[in-house]
Amino acid sequence: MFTRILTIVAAGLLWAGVAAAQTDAPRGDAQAGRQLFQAKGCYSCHGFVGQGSREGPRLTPVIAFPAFVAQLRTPRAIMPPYEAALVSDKQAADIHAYLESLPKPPDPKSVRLLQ
Amino acid sequence: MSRRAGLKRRQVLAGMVAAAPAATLASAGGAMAQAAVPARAPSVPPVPPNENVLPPPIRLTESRSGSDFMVDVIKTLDLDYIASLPAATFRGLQESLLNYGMNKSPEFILCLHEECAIAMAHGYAKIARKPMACMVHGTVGLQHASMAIYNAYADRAPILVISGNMQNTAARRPNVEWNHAALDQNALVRDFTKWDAQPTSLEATGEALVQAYDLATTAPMAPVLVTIDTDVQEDPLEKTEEATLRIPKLGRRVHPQGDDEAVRDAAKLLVAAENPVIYANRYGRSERAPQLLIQLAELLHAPVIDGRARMNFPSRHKYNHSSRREQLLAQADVLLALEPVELWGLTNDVQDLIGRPYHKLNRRPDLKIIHIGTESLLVKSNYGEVQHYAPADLPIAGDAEATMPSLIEAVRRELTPARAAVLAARGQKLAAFAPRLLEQARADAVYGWDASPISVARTCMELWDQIKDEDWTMPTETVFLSDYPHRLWDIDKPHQWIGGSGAQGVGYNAPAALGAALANKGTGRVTAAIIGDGEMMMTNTMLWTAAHHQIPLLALVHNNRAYHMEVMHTLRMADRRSRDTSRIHIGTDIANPNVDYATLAKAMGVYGQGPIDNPNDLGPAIRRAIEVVKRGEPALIDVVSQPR
Repeated sequence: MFTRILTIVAAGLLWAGVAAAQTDAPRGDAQAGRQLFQAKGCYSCHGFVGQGSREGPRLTPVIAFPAFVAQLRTPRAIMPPYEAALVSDKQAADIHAYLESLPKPPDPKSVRLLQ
Repeated sequence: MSRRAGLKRRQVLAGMVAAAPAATLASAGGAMAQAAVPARAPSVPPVPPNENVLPPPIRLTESRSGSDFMVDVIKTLDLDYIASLPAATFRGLQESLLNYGMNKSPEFILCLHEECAIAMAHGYAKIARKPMACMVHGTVGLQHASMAIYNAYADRAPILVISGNMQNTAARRPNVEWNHAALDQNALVRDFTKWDAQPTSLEATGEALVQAYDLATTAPMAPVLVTIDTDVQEDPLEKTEEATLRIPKLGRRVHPQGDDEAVRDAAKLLVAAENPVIYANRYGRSERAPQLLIQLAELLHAPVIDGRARMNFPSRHKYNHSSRREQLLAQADVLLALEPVELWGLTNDVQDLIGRPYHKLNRRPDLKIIHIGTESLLVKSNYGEVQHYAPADLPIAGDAEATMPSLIEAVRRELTPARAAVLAARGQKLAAFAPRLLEQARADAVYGWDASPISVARTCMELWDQIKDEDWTMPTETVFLSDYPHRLWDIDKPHQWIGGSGAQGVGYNAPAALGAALANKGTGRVTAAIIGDGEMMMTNTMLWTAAHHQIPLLALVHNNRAYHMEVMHTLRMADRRSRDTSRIHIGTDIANPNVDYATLAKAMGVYGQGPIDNPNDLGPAIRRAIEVVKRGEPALIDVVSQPR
């Protein structure tokens, strides 16, 4: 029981931290983000709707904004870096908002061609 | 050039028999005639040269020519087709093929660019399992052909390339014949052909053609080039000379096999291994290759990673774990690499970052590598296709497919019942994991499913839906399709997949697909290719050849309106330098205007549809196109696509 309470508290603290970080994030404009996703070349590896490819992983469902910006500035693996001079925090928020706005894909089981 | 000298002697004699007046001979303005006159007619007074009067010919007609004998030789080789553009340096041979050989075995296939002819032969060879011949013009034709020859060399595909050359400088007519002749034209492609010859007599030409075919079709296979002398083709062939000519007999094709003792050692390592992994890349040379690899994998209960340079292993076999490549290689204690092409890259990397840092991939320190392949049997220095030196713990020089039966037998001998039971338990775990790979591919494919431009996953599955119940071939590379055909399709027959270009020279896919379709012609098999727009633009005249020769190919243009690989390269440089990314499309996009591929196809006599950018329209379009293809005609669909 005690362990369970601790887990709930820890989860709550973690959520608060993420929420604070998200509160600090600039407000994103999905429409502007859509244009930036193309203009900044994100689409070239991840596809126009972030579906991913052999060259870059799928971006949806999108990760939390702080992690998103961290990946943008100091990427893991061989993704090229996007410094603030190239993509500002506001622009990053717009791109993030665009990815958040994308509709959920269909259930693979509901797609005839994938059966 | 001894035959040339002999020939001129015969010509002169024939002229004398025809009672050509010596005085007229002496009037010839040509250097040869002038040189011949003093010896033959010293008593006849010379006639003043007159530039407007042509010298009478020494001989006007011939009943049989050197190139007829060349056709006799070519007909002993197993050649169904010869792809070519017409050209003066082999006009003798072309006429002989058509009239003496009656355009059969081989049949002339007219291409509109030498690159198309060679790439067509490249794709054909991997379905037909035998070469086509190609004729390319002296110098300029060979220059056009060179990139495609390089692709075929890097892909170890056999092609018999024939070119022409007027080697005797004294006999060359002014201007063009000089421009289309060379001292050593084969030097242009010698770095990426297995063998070449420039015979100067008819006997030597016959021998060279058979030897070239022999070498091209023995592993490691590769293109070969025979440049035939224009004079030798065109000179009359007298009965007395013909009686002395011999055609070497082509023997049975036998491919080099790995050393028996080394194969036994390999079997011991594999049977004893805790986590063996099989990597097969350019392994599948013939129809039996996948079945042999299935036998080995099922004996060892070992996972297979398919490098996909050929159809090596069924895509949905329970032991095909290609999608888990890095995970499997990180756990492997024994790696069996079959014709890997690039062995070094299985354990090492150079990262595409500033300074290009070396990166040792995560591999066990006790990893033992067994390499069976022909890479070391055909090595040339100049071009980089040999790649890094990567010593294996057990290198076995030999054709991997030819070595496979003895390896299977050696593994059987090593297996005790107790060890077989242990391996079978490993196999159960692998088999249980396999369905998850397909499920993951399906889960990935739904992202962007309804997007426009159309996703590559959607394109692949719309095509699969139409061909899965047919006998089919997919003859083009799938790397730019994010590997979806291999991840989602059931690829289990050797002719369904033939690998890629070898050297990634753009221009391969469209004509190679046509070559595959030519090999499939008359079999009822549907040849369905997905071809990048950059590829299509490089060699789009293959469409005319498809229409002209009624070769049933379904070509879907993966139209992302760019040289997209170069978009990504340029973007990487701009990002690295924190510079404007909006200019990366300059010099990389194939847009403004957008190319209308359906109209391009129609202009060449090919059924065309598109541009199609609504994914819901794609299935019906493919259905209509397949109806055309089943009638024996080519068809094209322009699919406005996501980049990858």
